[in-house]
Amino acid sequence: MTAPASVAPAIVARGERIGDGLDAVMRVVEVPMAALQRLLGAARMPYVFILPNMLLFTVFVFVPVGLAIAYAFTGGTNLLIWDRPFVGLENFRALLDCGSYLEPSTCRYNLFWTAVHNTWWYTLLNTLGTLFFALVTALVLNRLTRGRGFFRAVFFYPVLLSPVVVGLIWQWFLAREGLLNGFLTDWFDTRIIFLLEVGWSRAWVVYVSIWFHMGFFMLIILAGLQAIPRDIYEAAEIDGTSQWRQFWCLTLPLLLPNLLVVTVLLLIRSVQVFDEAWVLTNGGGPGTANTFIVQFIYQTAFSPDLRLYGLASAASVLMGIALLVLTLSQLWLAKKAEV
Amino acid sequence: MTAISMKDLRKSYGSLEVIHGIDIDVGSGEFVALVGPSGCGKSTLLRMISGLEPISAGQMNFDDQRVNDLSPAQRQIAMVFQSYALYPHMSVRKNLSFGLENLRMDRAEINRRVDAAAKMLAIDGYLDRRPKALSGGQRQRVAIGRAIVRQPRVFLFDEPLSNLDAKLRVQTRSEITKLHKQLKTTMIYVTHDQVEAMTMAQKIVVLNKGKVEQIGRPLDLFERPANLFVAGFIGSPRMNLYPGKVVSTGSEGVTLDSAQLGRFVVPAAGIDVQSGNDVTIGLRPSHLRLGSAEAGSSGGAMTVEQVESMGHETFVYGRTGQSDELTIVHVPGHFEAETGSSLAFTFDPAFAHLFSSVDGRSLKGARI
Repeated sequence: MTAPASVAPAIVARGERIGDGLDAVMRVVEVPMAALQRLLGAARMPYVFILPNMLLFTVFVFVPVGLAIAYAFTGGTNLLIWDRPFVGLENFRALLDCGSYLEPSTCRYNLFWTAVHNTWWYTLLNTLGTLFFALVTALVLNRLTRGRGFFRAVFFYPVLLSPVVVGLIWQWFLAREGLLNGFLTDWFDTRIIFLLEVGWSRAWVVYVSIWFHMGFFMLIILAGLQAIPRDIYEAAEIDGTSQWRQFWCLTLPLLLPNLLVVTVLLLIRSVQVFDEAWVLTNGGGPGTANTFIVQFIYQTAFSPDLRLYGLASAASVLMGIALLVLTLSQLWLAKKAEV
Repeated sequence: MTAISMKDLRKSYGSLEVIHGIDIDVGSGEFVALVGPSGCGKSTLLRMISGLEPISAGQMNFDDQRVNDLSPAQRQIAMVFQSYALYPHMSVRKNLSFGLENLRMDRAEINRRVDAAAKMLAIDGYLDRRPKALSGGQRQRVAIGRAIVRQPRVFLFDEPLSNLDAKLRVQTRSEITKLHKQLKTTMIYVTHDQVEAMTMAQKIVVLNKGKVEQIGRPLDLFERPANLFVAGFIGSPRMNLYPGKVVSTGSEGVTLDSAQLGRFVVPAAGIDVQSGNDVTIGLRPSHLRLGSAEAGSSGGAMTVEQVESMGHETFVYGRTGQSDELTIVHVPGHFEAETGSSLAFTFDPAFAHLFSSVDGRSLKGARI
């Protein structure tokens, strides 16, 4: 019985010691900061506080982006930029040199346009598929009164895995001698070479991506659903609104800001697809059926027989512009849809 | 106009019963207020009436129709929520017409009803605005408008004024009262604010811990509270309560002795007490007068602890004897007194309420 009484003062004393320690640190920091404020003025002090983060951001984001843009205007295979000749817009011209953009074989760099086509279809199917399944799952979970936390964790669990691990797991599952084919052989006496047939392999790449990322987007949508006040639905119920009309006229419009965020994140993530698809399809196969833009950039820059850093950078810049357009569209749409 | 009858109404969540067999009759076109402290079950009861909350046991009838298993829409009720519950992405016009569109009503009729309600509530200038562009009072009127356009059998209000400032609350209070007179529809109004209940309702139901404490006209509840709970809940500031003992009973009334109030006779016949019974004596602050006792009145003395002056009236809070409870005296106009000073007060024993010290029920024959 005496333990709690003796523990509580100990906790208070420890808290006070920590507080005293922080006070001492603050007194030491306060002197130079006060001097700095006198020197620069109060208006400039916020910039002082964000300077450390801005330095890191500059080193790891601005400089690489600047370098990529600079490389995009250079040619040759030398790595160091000062050893590389300036070629102006030649890399962009080469990438965009096409008889018809709808027919990759008419393009000078047909692999780039194959990758663009593949990425476009993947982005479309992955975005719509993930959005649909994430929305349906979130709607169902939002209705659950029991076990919501458990199922939320179940659906979110794949998000915690590494993309390479995801690729490997599904490769084992879908391989010629994999689990799924074992099942098909035992039960239906048939075997499908999922990862070597164009249609099947593309479908599985999209499916695995949906399975992998859906939990994350489902959480965003679920948070949006839970933020809609319950009494709005009660008012609608009193108004005699059908379930379908409640979903169409209340849930969807009120969820629109979340759906927009999810859509744009999905678009960006889809355009950037690489690792799990690369591992799953053994490097974009069969043939170039699952070669995506980032894989093209990677191979163009780092394949020992290519090392076309300028061309890869130009492709990166084009992809960056596409992503920028998508992001700005999201901001514009979000502002327009603001409730 | 619809009459509502509730018989032995109960609500349970699992094994926990929160509404314990309530019997209430609401007359056709009547304005009834459900009052009680937080957690007493008044909002739950309103939601049971609306159909938003299933009824665990008992029977609810709208006129002669049993509505226990009917949906809110089938009951044809309209409800105004505390939070307004307006559809935030719709214009005011759309908010008003949404429920009518569910009924596949003719567009011309929808427009006619919306325009009429908007005009009645003076929101016709904001029909194209979204709720976020409206003030609290305007939002409240839109919520009421949404209820009006459906021409429901019963209006239900769930603390509709609690998010408004004091001035707007008074104004909206009178608007709702006016609306009731105009529409003559049955209205059930939940509030924890007894001033709202006293000023708006024709009948008040006082609830406590899921049970009805008293049902009656506002003044009946004020003048003849059925028990200590109602005595303490109805009336602001609360009734002063003092412990006392019955000295004798006779034709002239009941003679009481109290440490704070001295010995006095309550002139009432038929009070159900015997000599030696412990009782609780209740006196409204407005029934106490500052000054020494004169013939025919009784009194006590208090040490002033606090004076609240509102300009047109003053409440003096003081300690009488060793009692923990402060005595409150209502003084018309402005009054000043030093904290710690001693003041004598007097009262007419005819206004004294008597309650059983055993179960708190009124001993002066209140109606339940």
